[in-house]
Amino acid sequence: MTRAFRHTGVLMMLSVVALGLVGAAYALWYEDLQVTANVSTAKFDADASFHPWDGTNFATTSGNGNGRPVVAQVGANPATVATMVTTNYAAFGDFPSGKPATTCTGAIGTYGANGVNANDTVDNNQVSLTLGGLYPYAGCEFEIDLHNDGGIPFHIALTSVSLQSCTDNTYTTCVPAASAPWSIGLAPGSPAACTAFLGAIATATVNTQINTGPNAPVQIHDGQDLVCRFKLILDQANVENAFYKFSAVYRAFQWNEAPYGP
Amino acid sequence: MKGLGRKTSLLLVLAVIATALTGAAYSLWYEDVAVNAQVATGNLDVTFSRFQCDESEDAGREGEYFDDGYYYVAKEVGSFTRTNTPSDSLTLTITNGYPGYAVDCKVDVQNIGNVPVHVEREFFDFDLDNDGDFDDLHIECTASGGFQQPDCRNLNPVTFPWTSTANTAPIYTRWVNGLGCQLHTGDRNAGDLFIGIRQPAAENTTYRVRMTFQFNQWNESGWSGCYTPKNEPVTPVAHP
Repeated sequence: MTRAFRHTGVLMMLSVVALGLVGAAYALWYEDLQVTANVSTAKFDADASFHPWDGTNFATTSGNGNGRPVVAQVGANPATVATMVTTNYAAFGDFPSGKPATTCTGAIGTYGANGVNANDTVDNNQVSLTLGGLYPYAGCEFEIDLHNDGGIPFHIALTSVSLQSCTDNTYTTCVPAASAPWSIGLAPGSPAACTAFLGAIATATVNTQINTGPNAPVQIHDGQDLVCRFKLILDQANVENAFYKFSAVYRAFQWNEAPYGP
Repeated sequence: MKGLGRKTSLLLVLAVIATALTGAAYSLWYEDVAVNAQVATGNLDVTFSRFQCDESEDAGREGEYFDDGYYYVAKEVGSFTRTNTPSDSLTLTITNGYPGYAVDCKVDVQNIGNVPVHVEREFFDFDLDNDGDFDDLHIECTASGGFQQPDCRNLNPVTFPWTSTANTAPIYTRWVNGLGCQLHTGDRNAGDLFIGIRQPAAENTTYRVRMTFQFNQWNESGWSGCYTPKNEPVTPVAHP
């Protein structure tokens, strides 16, 4: 038996060597196909801009700077001006020379926690307006915009609005105020989206998608700007030497997951 | 069944943990945009900054002309007191007055706020029956064409209000200056208030006259400057 197995082993080794010598002839023909998927997500970025007033026009580019001081003069024609509305927009013009004008400034900043709410290291998603020396029929004109710096269309909703009355110009000791002693008017020809955007503040309807009509949300696509020009005028209110702090926070969210819509 | 239940529970727990680990992937993408505003209003504030008065009694000036038909006399009968400035309300009190006695006061107003103002209205109200109500006579000062009109007084026209019998008013009151004028921050406007006692005045009687100034913010005024109304006649912008 031992001899017989020795023969068998030799034969097997010989067959392995023989097969190796003619291996190519017996190889399976094959070819690999490969599918590779590279997935990149879009950038979601809603930003705000402030367009400074250069004394003649509002700049088309964003930056920090001044708004336009405006005032209405009454007493002859017209004897009075109705509460600031769009139809009276032109009645509030530049201050005449020699008159101390209101002060109107604006600045861009970052709102929200980086990495969670703001997706840039420095995100321009906050507009801060400062108005000083207002009196009845005097105020400021500003131009701001909300634009899409990302790649995803977004809808917006007003998520919070607050108005406080403060003790001094440090705006640190404040209590809630019942109502604002000013009126806001949009420039004639403003987009309906601006009316809805700023109008939401007046109604203070939070956590509701801002629409321009039934099933017509304010939607801002990639690269689009919603430019809004408005005047804020102090009403005929007995609020001398008063200080107010106002804040409105909007939430832009991806168009296809509308938590407050449609 | 028991074995199957344990396995199912284990799988559910693993699914929850896996979901939590990949939580960001399931969150709605959003970003907040804020609009903030700080609003400070101005300050409209005007005050009386001078109130200096002189009377028609002066021992050293007997017979000299005082003003408006009144003459100095060398007597010490009447007297007056006045309150001090700065103040938004002044009071002149005349005691032991008599026909021919008069007091003339220099009155300055000053804008101590930061909003320019116009002198919108100046008017007198009289309490001649001593009932405490200033409802017996109302005199509204007016101006036109750059000049103050002569009717910012309760007698018009009158040459010698002390002795004139053309009117039964017991006192003669006159104000000059300021109507329509514009005062920027720090600016003053000087005026003259004259009060004289006339022949019709009764003895032991109190008469009161109140003069009121209304200052309006410059952009809500019926005046474009001193004595220069925007409309003829002027249409002052009233209080709301």
